[in-house]
Amino acid sequence: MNDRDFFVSHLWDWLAEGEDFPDHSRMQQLLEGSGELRAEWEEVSALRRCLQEDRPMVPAGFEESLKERLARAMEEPQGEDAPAQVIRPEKGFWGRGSALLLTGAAAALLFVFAGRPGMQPAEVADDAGLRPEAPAESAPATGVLATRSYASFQDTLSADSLREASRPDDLQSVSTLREGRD
Amino acid sequence: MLKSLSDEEVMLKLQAGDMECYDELVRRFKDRLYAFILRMVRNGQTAEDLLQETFMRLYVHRMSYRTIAKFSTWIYTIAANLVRSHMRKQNRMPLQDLETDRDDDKPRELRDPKRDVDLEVAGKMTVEAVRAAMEKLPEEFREVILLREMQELSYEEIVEVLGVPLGTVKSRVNRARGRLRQLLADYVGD
Repeated sequence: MNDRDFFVSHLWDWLAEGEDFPDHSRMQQLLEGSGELRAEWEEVSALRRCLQEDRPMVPAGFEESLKERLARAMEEPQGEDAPAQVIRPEKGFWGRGSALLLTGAAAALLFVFAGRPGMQPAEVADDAGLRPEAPAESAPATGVLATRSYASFQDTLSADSLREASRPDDLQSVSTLREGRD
Repeated sequence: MLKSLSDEEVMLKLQAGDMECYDELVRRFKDRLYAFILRMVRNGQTAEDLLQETFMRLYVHRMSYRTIAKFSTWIYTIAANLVRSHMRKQNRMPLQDLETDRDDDKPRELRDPKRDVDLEVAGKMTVEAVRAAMEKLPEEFREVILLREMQELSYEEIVEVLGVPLGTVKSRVNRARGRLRQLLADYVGD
C-alpha cells in the first residue's frame, strides 16, 4: 500500500482516535507533506464535524412520561426477569386525533359566534354551555388563568374590534404608516 | 455524588435498589440514544417510543447486566435491537444494496486538488446536507456510521452492539463512509 492509499484508508480512524491512533506520527507527516492529502483531510474533517454537530435532543417531557410508564409497569404483577411489557403511551393516533378534533370544534364554535355582528362573546360562552358551571365573572382565584381578567378578554374580542379589523382599508393604512416612517 | 461515578458503578447501585441511579442513567444516555434512534427511524414519535422502551428494558432487565460488559455497550445493544426489530416490522431493510457494493472496500481515488473539488465540497458541507445524504444510506450502513462517527464507539464496541464479526464491522464502516461521501458529493453538486 502506498502512502496515499495508506492515508486515505486510515484517515477516518485517525480523526476519531487522534494521538491514540497507532500511526499518528506517520499520518501527521503525510498530511503536512501533501496538498492533495490535505484537501482530503479537510473534506473528511468537515464531514465528521457535521455528523457530530447533528445532535437532536429528547423532546421536553420525556422523563416525566417515562416515569409514568415505569410507575404503571411497577404496579403490574410480574417478575423482574419477565420480558418488558409494551405499554402503549396514551398519546396514540386516535387519542391525539380526537383531542385535536374536540379542540378544533370548540375553537371553530367560539370563532363563529364571536365573529357574528351584534353578538357578545360572553353570552355565546354561556349560551353554548361551554362553561355551564363557571359563570364569566367567577374565575378561580388561583392559577395562571386567574391572573387574566375575563372582562378584558371580552373587550379584546368585542364585535366592534373584530369589525374594525376586517375593514379592507386596514392594510392600506399600515402601508401608509410605513411610508410615513420612511 | 452520583455524577462522579462511572456508568458501571451507577448501574451496580441501581441493581442494589437505588432508584436515583435509574434517573442518572436516563439523564446520561437519553440524548445520545435519541440521536441514534431518531437518525435510524427518521420519525420523532417513533424515536421517542423506542427510547422509552429502551429505558423500560433497562429497568426490567437491570439484574441481568453483568459488569464484564461496558454499560454503554449494553444499553446501545438494547436500543439497536429495538430499532432493528422496528425496521423489520416496517420492512425497510434493503439488504441487496449491501451485497452489490464490494468496490467500496477499496481506497477511494483522490480527486485532482487543482480543480478544488474537495474544497468546494468541504465548503458547502452543512449539517443539513450531511443529514440528507445520511438518509439516503441503506439502514445497515447508516447504523454503523452513526455508531462509529456520531456516537464514537470503538470497532470492538460496535461488534458487541451489533453481534457481527470485527471484519464485517470494519468492512461495513468503510463501505458506508465511501457511499456517504459519494452521496454528499452528488448532493452538494446538484
